Amino acid sequence: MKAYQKLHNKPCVYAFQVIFWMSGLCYVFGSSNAISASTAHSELDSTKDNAKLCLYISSYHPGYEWQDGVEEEIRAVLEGHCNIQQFYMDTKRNREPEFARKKALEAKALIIDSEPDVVITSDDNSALYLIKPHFKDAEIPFVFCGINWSVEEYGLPYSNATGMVEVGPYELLLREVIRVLREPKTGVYLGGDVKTTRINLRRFVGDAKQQDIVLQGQLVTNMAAWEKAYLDAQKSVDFIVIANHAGIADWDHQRATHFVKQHAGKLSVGYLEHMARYNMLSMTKLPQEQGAWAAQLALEILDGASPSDFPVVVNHRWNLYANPDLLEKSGHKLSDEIYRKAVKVSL
Amino acid sequence: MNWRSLRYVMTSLAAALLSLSVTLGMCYWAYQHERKTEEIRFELAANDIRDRIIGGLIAGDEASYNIVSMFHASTAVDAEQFHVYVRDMLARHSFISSVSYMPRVNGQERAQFEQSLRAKGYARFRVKGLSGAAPLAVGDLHYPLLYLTPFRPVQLRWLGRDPLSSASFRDVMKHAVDTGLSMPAISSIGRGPLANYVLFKAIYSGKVSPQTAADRQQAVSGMIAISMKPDLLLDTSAAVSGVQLTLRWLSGETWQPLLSHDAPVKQTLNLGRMRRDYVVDLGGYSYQLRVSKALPWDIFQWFWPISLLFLGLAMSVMILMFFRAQFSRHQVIEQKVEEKTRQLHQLAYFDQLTQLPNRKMLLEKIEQIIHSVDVDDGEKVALLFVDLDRFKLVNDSLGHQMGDQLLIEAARRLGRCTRKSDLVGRLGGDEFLIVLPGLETPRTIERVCAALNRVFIKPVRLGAHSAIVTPSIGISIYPDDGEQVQALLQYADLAMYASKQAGGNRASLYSPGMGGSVAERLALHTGLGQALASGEFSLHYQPLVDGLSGSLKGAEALLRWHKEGKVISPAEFIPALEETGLICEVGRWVLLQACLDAAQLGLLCDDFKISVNVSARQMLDGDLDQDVRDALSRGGLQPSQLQLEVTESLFIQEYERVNAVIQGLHELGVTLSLDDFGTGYSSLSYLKRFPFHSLKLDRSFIRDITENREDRELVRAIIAVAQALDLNLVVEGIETEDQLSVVRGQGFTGGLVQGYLFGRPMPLTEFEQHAQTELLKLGQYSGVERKASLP
Repeated sequence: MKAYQKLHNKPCVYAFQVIFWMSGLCYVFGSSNAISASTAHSELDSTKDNAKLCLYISSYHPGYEWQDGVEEEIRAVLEGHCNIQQFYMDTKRNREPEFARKKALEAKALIIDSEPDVVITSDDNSALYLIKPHFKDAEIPFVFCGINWSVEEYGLPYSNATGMVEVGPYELLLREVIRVLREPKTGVYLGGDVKTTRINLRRFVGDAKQQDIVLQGQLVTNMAAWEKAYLDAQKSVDFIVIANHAGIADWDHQRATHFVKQHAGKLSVGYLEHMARYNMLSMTKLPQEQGAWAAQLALEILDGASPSDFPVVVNHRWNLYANPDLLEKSGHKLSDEIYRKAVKVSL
Repeated sequence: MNWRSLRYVMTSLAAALLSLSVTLGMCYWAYQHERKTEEIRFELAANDIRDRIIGGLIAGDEASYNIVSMFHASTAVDAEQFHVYVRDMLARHSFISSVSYMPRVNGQERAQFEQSLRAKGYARFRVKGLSGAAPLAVGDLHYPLLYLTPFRPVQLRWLGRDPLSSASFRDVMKHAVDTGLSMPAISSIGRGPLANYVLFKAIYSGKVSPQTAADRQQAVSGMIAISMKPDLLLDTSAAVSGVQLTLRWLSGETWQPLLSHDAPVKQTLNLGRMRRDYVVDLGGYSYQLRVSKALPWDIFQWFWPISLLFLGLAMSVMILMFFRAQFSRHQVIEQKVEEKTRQLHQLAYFDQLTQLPNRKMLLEKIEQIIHSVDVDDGEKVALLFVDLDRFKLVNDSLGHQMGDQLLIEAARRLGRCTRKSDLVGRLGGDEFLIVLPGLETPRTIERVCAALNRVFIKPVRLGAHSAIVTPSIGISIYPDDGEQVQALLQYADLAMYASKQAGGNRASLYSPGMGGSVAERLALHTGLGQALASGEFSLHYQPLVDGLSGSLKGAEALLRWHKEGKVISPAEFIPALEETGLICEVGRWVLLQACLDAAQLGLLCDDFKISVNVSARQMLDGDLDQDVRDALSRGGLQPSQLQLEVTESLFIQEYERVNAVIQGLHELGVTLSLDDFGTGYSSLSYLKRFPFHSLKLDRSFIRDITENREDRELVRAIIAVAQALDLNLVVEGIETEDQLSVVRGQGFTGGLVQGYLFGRPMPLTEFEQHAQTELLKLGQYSGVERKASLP
């Protein structure tokens, strides 16, 4: 002990102790300073990110299922990276071009006024009425999504605009039809007589033609015609594509259900979620895929990339639905992988 | 430190060293154990890293096979199928960063292919070069990237780009097509589907796998590219285990570096480096993974080594302390033994009084010295036998204690006279021996003898007294006088006697003639033993005369020895009687004979007193009181007719006993005379303390009294003392009338005188005639009966 005290009393030991404690204090203060600096840096980064503005311009209105799906995913991806401001052109409920143009001008004013870091648009009308006339090759970057089938009619992509095109799963549906029926030759495309359905019919027919399949269109305006066409198809073609009932004024869900239950025999496929119960197989698009892609592109742009760095892409994800009752009744068997992955629905 | 102590120290040190060695050994073992543990830990980590990295490579290879199998199993794999399948794979293998599908597009089909893609929504789709900037020239074959998973913008930037257009991938892709194997390529691209480490694998159409390169080139329908991040594996593994990783592949016959990762190395002391090499064959290539790691000292769990070290050190110290305690105990015992041995040696080889070597040691030393002498070089050894003159007188007069003190001082003085190389010892009594080795000339002997004379001439203080003792030295020389130690010693002794006989205080070299004197001395001793029985002793009487009237008052009995017709001097045989102890028996005879003769001489006059000398030894050792009574009784004398003469030396020793004897004699009525007064201590206290009747003035004061004033003054003083103490005075040694006259002139008012002037010592009959003649002259002769006296 005496030796320890003796040693303890030596000046060199005091010096060592001073160095030791000073080092400890430096470490503690250094660490806390580092933590403070790190925290401040994070706050700075956060403030910087939050200071960025992402403007979302929807062609439609909130409450519209597709629009809501797109916006939901955009917000989910961009959350924490930028302030999100939204503008709804509401052109679904207001189909007049003038309304759309008026809304487009409002949106334009908003863009000029708020100077967003990136603008995300969804669906065709925003491209048609806002991007193309007001922001083609402008400085403000645009990311679009939900444009049906092709952007060529809008002249996209621009140097300041890129995004995702919304395509239907027609080729895939036809591929599965071929897989199930081996060598289908004919089919009926059955739906309401509206513009969108007509456009889809043309594309579906084209895709079928590439597969050497003759697809006839039966676009009707009432329930009876729909039933008649459905019954005729059971006798005359190899498969049926049940499209949207929009345009059938007296569409009756229960009646259609009962009718299909009673007469289903031919393989029926579709591409709309709300019509999935009447089809044995349905492949439907996901609004989230559009929204996610648009948001991811927006992040890249916020990070300094240019829209022109990215090609226009198409969606590729589908929701699968299968109606086991109808499949059983008809005796058709889907490929295992599709049937396994499909959400099972019933009439 | 002797051998035993040294052995103890060596044993304790050896034990401590052994303990320390065991400790260090244990520490080394613990260190090795820790190192082994660390190496095992490293081995396990390295194996794990190998499994992860090589496993990753294998997984990438397997993934490529699985994806290709998916294409083979389906007529057409759509993007969704591809993405779903690959997404699952990416979720399972984090090191696979992306998987891409590239359809084969022939040059002539390129425009159609581009158109079909554009028709499907891929606006402005074109097959491009890898950089994406310049339009791709029309070639024979293209593999544009079409399906890119994960489906993210950073991946889709590469949509339509053709890696075959890049020299970096062209050969690998062609090789992949030709072989059907997964072919790796290292890419300099940092991000995207062709980043880092890319595995290319061809997809072939048809149900039968093509067997030749040509068939494969024909059947290939597309390719997949798997971008992997082995460095992610390396980084993760390295970060986890702190290792350095190097992945190389065998290109030709040389190992080319593929990937490497160095973990941050702590700047610390390293104890070495651990390394493991793994080689794996994959996709027709050999890969080597080298895992290495520094072995820094601070990764060890030092608890056990340090604990063992401290424990061992503590044990070593304890063992050392134990041995030290044992050693101390042993040392104490050994010191005691050594002390006792030394004491025994001291007792055996040294004289306890003077601390000089004794006879035994002297003899051994002389023996050694003689053996070491180089006689051929004329080297000699001298033995100086030293005897102290008059030591006996001092010893007898002042007592043994003073005698011992004198011997101690004599030893000290002897030591001062000799060289360091000389040897001085005590043979016994007052006999010393000096050995002078290495003599080449007699000068050394002369110097030593001269020195002895110088130092001994100074008086020795003995309590209140002082005395001068001189040395008588006898010298024998080796090898001149002999070669045997005993003979040399004997010759030195003979030479010493020669010095004694010459009066003492001198040195004599031995000569062969001296042997006779010794023989005579031996004969003297032998003769004394037989003299009494042979009637060779006789008593002579010297008259004691009144100093004023000249009338005969008595006689002093004096012993004479007649041997074979020769008269031997009392100076020769009285000391011999003392030495041989015969003095008591002869003294008894003298006392008796003197009393018998005194009875006869007493008839000559009325107050005749016979005076007999008594030695100190006779008074102390014998039964003097009884001897006197017997002699008086047998001689028919009255005690007052007998006077015993004693010397002062008597009173120095055993005072109580002497006093008792004297008091007994005094009570008996015998008178006492103090003989030789003035030559010794002349202590007046003796005269006062003991009942002396008379004081006998030594003849040495008378010899020159007529010429020497000091003698006269001393005689006057002694006469005055005797008168003052009321003691009868006897003056001996008066040989002339002048001397008698001078004595009378010194205040002599009464007392006896003795000397040749009044008659020599003479046989009884002659004394009777002399007495009758003298008495007749004085008219005092009674003529009644004859009376006798002792010498």
